[in-house]
Amino acid sequence: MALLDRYLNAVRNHLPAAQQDDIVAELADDLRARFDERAAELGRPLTEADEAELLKPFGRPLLLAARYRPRHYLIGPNLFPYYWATLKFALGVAVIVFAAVTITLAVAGRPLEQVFDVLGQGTFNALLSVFTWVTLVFALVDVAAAQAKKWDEWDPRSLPRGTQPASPRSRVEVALDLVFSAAFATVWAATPHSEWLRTLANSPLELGPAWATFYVPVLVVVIASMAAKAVTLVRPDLATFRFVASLVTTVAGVGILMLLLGAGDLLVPAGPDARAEALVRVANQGLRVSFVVAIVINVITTALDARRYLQGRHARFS
Amino acid sequence: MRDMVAPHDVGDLVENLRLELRRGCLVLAVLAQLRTEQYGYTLRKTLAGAGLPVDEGTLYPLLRRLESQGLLASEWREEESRNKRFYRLSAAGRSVLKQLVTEWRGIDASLTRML
Repeated sequence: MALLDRYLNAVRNHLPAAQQDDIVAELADDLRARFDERAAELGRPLTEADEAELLKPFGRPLLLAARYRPRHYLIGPNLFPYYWATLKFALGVAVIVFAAVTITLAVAGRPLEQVFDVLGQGTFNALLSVFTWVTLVFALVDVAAAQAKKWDEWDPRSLPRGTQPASPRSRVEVALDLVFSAAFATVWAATPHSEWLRTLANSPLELGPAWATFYVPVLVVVIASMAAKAVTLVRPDLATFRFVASLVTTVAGVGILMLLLGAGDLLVPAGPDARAEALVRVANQGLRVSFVVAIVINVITTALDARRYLQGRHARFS
Repeated sequence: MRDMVAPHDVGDLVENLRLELRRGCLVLAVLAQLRTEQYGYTLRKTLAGAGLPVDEGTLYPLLRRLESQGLLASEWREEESRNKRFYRLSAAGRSVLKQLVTEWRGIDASLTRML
């Protein structure tokens, strides 16, 4: 097969199927015209080296084909600053969480190898997961936004009325919250099907039977909360919806946390190991403390949201 | 004050800025040339002859993009015993070209005063 045909075939392989014949036919015509012109200049038929010299400036077939595609980026300039801010924040949180886990394991007297394993391998996996999820979610949002062309088409008259901000939280915060909720929902949904997750990454601990009772309620609350956040992201002006949705999901979440507090040991030893039993006691105590902290934080933030919402209503109607 | 660009990077920087400057001009040049119907090969030669050589592999994707935006119309026709795709400015393309030429003249006048 001639070099030109080999080049055109390689380009064809990277083109959208619907346009392959059309684009390749046009390129072939142009290249043949160049070959003829060059052969006339040289006064002899072209050698393979001559043909290669003419083809080289067109670039690798993959790059040439890519120029026919309308989209050359994953996350566009409109969304990139939000993506970058979210990614930095999420990676920072992941580092802090893993630092806390490492310190907890070290304080609990775990072997140094295990501590370093969590610090090294665990942190690397977590950072990679955070990067992947945040990038994936923002890329999908950008594709959807490009389709809808809503980022550029906006009307200042659609800005919310009233004196208070449309949303007490910025869109970045809501988007970040949504990304974390999606990551949690994925892990939670996968837990019953993954030995690795049930045994907490092959640690000496595993989830106790009490978790099975709460599996569906937690999943339902997280998905409902994600739906509410997605609506808030698109329509931050729906203050009543935002407040009611937040109230309902928070009440449900606090209810589940309170039931979990009285559900006995949530973590159990994976096998007959005296050191694992000591670790289980520390871990269960730690979980209970974190549930109490989460309940208090949720109650306070909901109370603040309620006050802000009622002040906003008062400002709008006075 | 220290220089922000190392001397060996100046060449690359100039090249990037030059490409950026030419990119917008190229669209205007292509639209202007296609007031008369042409196929890709002759269009590229015309542009090069007029002092605006186009990078290999840039012209055809640009023509496709302008066509998908409704600024160009095209048809396959046989000429010199070869099938060629001929491009010409569409009605929308003529209107856009008119506006772009006005814009270009404004920019040209402003820059001429400044430079």
